[in-house]
Amino acid sequence: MSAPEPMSERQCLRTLALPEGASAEQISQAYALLKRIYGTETANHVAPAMEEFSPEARAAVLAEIEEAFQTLSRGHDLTRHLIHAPVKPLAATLHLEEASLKELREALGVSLDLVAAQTRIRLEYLSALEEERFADLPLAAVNIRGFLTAFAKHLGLAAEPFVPAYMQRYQDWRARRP
Amino acid sequence: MQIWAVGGGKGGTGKSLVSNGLGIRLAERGCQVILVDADYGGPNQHTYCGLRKPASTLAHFFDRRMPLEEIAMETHIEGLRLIPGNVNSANTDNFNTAQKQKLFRHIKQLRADHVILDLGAGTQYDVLDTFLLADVQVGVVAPDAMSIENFYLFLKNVQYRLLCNVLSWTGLKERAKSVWRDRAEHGISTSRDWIVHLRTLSPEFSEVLNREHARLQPHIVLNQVREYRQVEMGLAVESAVTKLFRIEATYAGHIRYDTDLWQQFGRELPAISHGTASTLHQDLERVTEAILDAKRRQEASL
Ligand SMILES: Nc1ncnc2c1ncn2[C@@H]1O[C@H](COP(=O)(O)OP(=O)(O)O)[C@@H](O)[C@H]1O
Ligand SMILES: [Mg+2]
Repeated sequence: MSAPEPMSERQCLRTLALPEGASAEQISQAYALLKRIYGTETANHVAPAMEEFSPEARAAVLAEIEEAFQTLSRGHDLTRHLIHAPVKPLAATLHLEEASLKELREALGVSLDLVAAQTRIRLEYLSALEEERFADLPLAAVNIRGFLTAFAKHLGLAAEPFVPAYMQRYQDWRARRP
Repeated sequence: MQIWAVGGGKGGTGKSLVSNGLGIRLAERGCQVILVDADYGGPNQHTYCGLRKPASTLAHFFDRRMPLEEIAMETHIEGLRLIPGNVNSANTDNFNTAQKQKLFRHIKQLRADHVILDLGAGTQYDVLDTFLLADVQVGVVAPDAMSIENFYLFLKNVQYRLLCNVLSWTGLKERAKSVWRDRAEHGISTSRDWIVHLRTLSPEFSEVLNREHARLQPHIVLNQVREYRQVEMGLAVESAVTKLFRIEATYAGHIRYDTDLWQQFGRELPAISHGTASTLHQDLERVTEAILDAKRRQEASL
């Protein structure tokens, strides 16, 4: 039996639903999104009991996605983009003013431990920060803003309009405090 | 002229709302638009348009051969006309398939830039055929498992109907049936194997099937989004349709659930309007532009 032909770059991009000339960042984003879709998280909501969605069919798609990503990453360090991964496809349609940091982080599939490791912010601060438990944040407003900006950046989010909206909620809370 | 067909979803997902919103947006862009309420079992377009008493409806076309141009009534929106569904009879869906197919031929003769058909729910042949014939195919899903499952089932029905049509055009219908009957002999177990086998029997069939299947390019609209996390379900549906059903679908974006919509009815005004604080108008604008963009890209690639 002969080995299967390797995927061409064009096929790889097609597999990841990307146009030609996609950037490294786009490739990682698309990869992370597809992994979530055909992995368990999203699939649980959207994969009905139809032959098209059999575990074998999904495994085949996952294998193809993996191969495309590995082929495209040869010679590039694409994994460093992964933390920002799924933001782009979502960003166009999200309502960042309304979403909480925790919801965003979870939707992006990023663990709090990873954020703590990368931002060097203490886990309990990050946790209080994202759950907006302001009373558990014995910090000055300027530190909160700094941590928040670092957190958002690591999720691949732009500071506007997210950070100002958050800080407004924090200031409102302070004003209401006895 | 472009014919848009809006279908695919379960009842209540928002096909009527999306059809109506597309009509409004296209009219606001300066196009001449005609909305056709082809949801025979549950016509609602007149209500979305804020029109109480349509003088004539599709029933006049079916029963009295009234020309569609005469039935088309002005709405409150400039450039948007409506051909209402049969709102006056208790027996709304009593037109036969031949009559409904005739309707499509008449629709093609209408004078407009865009005609938008609200197909309603269901997978009857006339619904599937209309969807297949449309220039712009729009599928509406809500972010819940039931709605998404029904949408996949709708697409499977569309694909099967397309296959049957191609088999009869290429005179292969009887042959195909007998192959399926004797499938064990041919080593066929799934419908995919069956199609592969049929392709080897007739290059003409294979070619026509490819050509027709390539015309199936649904635009997916995710309606009634209450949490932004649901947005990803639209991307998931787009991907699954493309990868698992091999249909070139594109995700046209989401429409948020608007908690105030219910209050917008019964005022002799369009329910979805520019003036209100409603998020619907904004979202529908984004979705319409996304569909027009995707359509341009599809045409450029042909
Ligand atoms: N985005 C939305 N926000 C608020 N209400 C909606 C939305 N989409 C649909 N609805 C409401 O849900 C119901 C079903 O919508 P409709 O367009 O009639 O669905 P369908 O035509 O698919 O059966 C209607 O009462 C409609 O007003
Ligand atoms: Mg309807």
